[in-house]
Amino acid sequence: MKAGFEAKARQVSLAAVLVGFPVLLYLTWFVAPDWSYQPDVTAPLTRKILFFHPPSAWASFIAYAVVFVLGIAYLNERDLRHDRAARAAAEVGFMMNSIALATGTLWGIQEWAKAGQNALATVYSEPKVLVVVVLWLTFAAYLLLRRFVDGPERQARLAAVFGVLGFIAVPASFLTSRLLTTSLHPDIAGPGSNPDAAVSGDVGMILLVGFLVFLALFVHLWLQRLRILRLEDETAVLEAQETDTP
Amino acid sequence: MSDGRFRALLWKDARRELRGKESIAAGVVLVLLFYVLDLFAFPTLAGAPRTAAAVLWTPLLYAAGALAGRAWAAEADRGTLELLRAAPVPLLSHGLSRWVVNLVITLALALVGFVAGGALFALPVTVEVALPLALGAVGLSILASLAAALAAQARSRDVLLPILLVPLAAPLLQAGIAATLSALAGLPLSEARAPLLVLAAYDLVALGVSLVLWPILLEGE
Repeated sequence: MKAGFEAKARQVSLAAVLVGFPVLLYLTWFVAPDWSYQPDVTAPLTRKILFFHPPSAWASFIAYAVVFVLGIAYLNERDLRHDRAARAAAEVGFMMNSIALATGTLWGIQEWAKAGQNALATVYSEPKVLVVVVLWLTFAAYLLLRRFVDGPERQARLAAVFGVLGFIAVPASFLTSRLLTTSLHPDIAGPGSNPDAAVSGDVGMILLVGFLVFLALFVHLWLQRLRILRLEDETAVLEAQETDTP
Repeated sequence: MSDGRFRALLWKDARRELRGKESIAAGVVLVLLFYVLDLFAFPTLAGAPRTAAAVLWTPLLYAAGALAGRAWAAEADRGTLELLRAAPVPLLSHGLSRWVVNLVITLALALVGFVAGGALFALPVTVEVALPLALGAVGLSILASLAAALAAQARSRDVLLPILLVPLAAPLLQAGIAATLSALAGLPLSEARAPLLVLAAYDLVALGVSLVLWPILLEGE
């Protein structure tokens, strides 16, 4: 990525986040339906998490796709810049995935847990929550693998291989949970989605805004992290040169 | 890949396992240890199909990982990974040969678990229960071999191996447990068609991807 284009993308994504987040909050509180009058809705206030939970989960799926593509690019070209970009995407994707997991847990505890049941067990026995957990574990394993491997080339090669393997496991886990199990979790999109749970109108529009805001947040944090990693590498080279100088 | 050279490699890996007998013995003991612990906790699994599915699948997952890890770790410790790379044999042959040996061992362990489940917990000893375990063992042997080769090139590989393996094996476990639950409910194989197809498809995809990744995974710096 050219430095000028990257700086521009950083600024544009930051502007999108700074404008988009207040708009998303406004839409969530003042435009989204008031679910408190619906008798079948257990936790109307917690339902507002809808506008943050799927967008953060989708952003983390995109982050993993970026890790996969950059891993393939590294294996083809053996250019460490691709590996650095993949690492930055994985770190930010892990953060997005953690947000999706935390918001999903809060929502699930309020909506699904019944009296006498362990709320966390109810949430984490949900097949679709388990998919997010699998992605979280995959990100964690990818980042841990990097820490345990010495040498930049070996680290890049092994991380790219695991990135490719993980990219197959995560969609497979997603499809398996959709095809094989019944669930409390609403299917709002994708194969096997439930027409009753499909979003439309204001809810759909706010969800789209939420997705765009989290996408901009991912892009901005990714580019910022990439810049820091590049500076760290350049500093390490300069320090090595200084040590070599008699 | 030359058939003659692949057969020679396979024979070498198989003889090493047979000579040491460590893998099979350690694997059988590991699987049975899980069952003994299960006996402490659950005197019976009647009316508890979900627990029964966990009893069948957990030892298989851990034993497959531990045994695949041991084989690669021994190569890394002796420094023979470099020798393997220097041999005039495609790197893919090394990976495939190791996987075939792991496959046989993992299938044997699945059989031990299947028989132990029937003997100790009176779980049904039927094709409906055996088939998901066999299909799962195929996929687990592929993924465990790849994860073990990854971990062997890292520090703290014993800790790292399960961390790498479990997320990769998640779809297999989800589908395998779904098929096992169907079998434990006494339903025919046709009722478990979807999870069995998922298991078979994931096995094929994992095998296809492993053919591409083995040479990259085993190349030197």
